Amino acid sequence: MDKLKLRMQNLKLCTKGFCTFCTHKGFIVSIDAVIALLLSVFFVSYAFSIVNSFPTYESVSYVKLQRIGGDALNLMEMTNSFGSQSAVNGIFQQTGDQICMKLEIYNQSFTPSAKKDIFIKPGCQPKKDQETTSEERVFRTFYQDGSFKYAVISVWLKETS
Amino acid sequence: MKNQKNKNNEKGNALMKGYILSVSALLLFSVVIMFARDVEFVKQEMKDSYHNAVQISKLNYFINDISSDLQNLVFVDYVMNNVSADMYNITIIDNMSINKTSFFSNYIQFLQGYANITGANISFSYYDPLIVNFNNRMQYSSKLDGTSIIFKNSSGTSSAAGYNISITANVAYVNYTEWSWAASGTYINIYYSGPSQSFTKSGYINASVLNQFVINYSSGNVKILAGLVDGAGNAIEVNQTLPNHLSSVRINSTLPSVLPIYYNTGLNISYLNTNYAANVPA
Repeated sequence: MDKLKLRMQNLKLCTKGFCTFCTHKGFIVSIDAVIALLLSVFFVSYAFSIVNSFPTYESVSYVKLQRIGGDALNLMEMTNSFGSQSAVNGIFQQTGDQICMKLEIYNQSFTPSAKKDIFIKPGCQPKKDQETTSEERVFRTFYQDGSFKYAVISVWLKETS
Repeated sequence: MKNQKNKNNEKGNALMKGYILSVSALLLFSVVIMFARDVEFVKQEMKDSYHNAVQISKLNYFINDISSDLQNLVFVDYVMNNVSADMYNITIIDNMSINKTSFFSNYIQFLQGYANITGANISFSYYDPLIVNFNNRMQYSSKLDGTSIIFKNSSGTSSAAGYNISITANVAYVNYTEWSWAASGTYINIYYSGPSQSFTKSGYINASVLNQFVINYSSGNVKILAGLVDGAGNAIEVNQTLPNHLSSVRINSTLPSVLPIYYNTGLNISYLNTNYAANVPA
């Protein structure tokens, strides 16, 4: 009778509480240990995923494009380049192969009828790239030939196919 | 009996072990969760500070843009030439061919359009004369009607050892009358350039009295005043009776502690959560 009882006890799964040790050894590992291990892995990996996903300035990528556009416009104004295709291209080339740009000049007002010039960086295809990548736009005012003008530069990353 | 007692003790111990370990594990997990929450909070703060930095950068860009526009009227360049003495070589170029009055009245309207496009709130004010203020109390004033420019120390006598004055004229002069040069004092170089005419005059002047160099045209004249000018010692003034004789005036000197430099034009810009309310930097 005692032997029978012992056998029955060995066959039963441990049900005594969540993390209490079973009075019987498990088949390979006890369920408690498995659950505890799973929970530990879950919590530690969750904590690590949060810690490792700190935002960096570079991850705010639209900022980079805006700054490149702003710096290019600043340089164009300082060197009085707005009216010259070659001068504008010279500045375009300094922005790197991955960057695409389009410069538009507006006379007095930012309206379609006031658009005076368009310069596109060689090697860039405005329509195609803008369909798939987002562009950033930066405005600049300048004074030329007795009137105020807007320079509007669109900046986007070149599509790599 | 003894066996039964031992078995019961073992059971109790096992139960205690399990209880302690469970609680310890739960405490550990709680600490991990709280740590993760703190990290999330810090992450959000960092994101907010990056976004603020972006806004500040944008505000700075607007101010720089407006400053560049004003430089079409009066451009100020400075190069440090003595670090220990904080001395700078200053060059001021005044574009006399631009009508400053109509420039500013058109500019106010133009800036409203700029504000609408960019989403910034911009308020700009200007005064007659347009003044560039240096940190060392030197002041460059340019009347909006283009008839006079003055470079002086607003609170007394300028410490400049000399001035280079370059004048570019649109009209040919008839003759000119020099001032009385001195044996010592402030050293002045005058470079004049006009249609098919040019001359250079150099020497010392007595900076404690008013010295006049007059260039006569068929109608009107241009006067270069040096020394005691507009109540200030060792100052420079260039004036023209008609506003179309001169296309530009350029003054160069070496002076101490000039930075920062501002125009007397007021600027108030608000962009998202940032704001600038001060004069436009030159």
